[in-house]
Amino acid sequence: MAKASNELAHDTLLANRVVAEFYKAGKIPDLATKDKIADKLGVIGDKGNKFNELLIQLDAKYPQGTLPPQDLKFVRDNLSELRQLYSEIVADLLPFGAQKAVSDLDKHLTMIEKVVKQ
Amino acid sequence: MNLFDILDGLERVLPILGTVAGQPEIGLLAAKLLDMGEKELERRKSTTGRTRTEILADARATFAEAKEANDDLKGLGHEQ
Repeated sequence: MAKASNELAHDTLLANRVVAEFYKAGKIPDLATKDKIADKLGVIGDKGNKFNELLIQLDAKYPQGTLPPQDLKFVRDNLSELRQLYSEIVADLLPFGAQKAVSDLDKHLTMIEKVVKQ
Repeated sequence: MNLFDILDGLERVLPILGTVAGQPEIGLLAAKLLDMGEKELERRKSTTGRTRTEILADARATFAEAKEANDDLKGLGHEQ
């Protein structure tokens, strides 16, 4: 899960940069849409960071690596919100054919979800 | 973004992109995406053998970078 959280961080960084380049290249012509996507990416970044901080606390608390059920549930609940935001961003990017800019976010969110469902 | 797909596709069309009439910015976009993709591939190769604690610390630093990138993205189009 740590690796997936790290990949999520890098995907979020890349998504911000790629959306910026798409906008500068005129592939997202509407400023309001760009701002809406930027806001959602900002929320994903903030919540992803909080999720990662939770993992850091749990890492210190459970160095042997096994999360008890109550902590897994907490992680799972935070994850569903990230998943919802990601789906909204994809919907925003769909009209411009730029949804690939964030597709790696989906892969790593899915990876984390599989881990916490076990 | 599937970086491998993008790199593969862009390498084939990049020579053509630069000559698309009236759209030099598309070639520039492609070049920037390629550069990002190559750096990302190098980063992924260098992440083996790290502890969970190290990985989480890397994530923390990267989320801070993502915050800066997001601030830049939000500022685009609103320059004074």
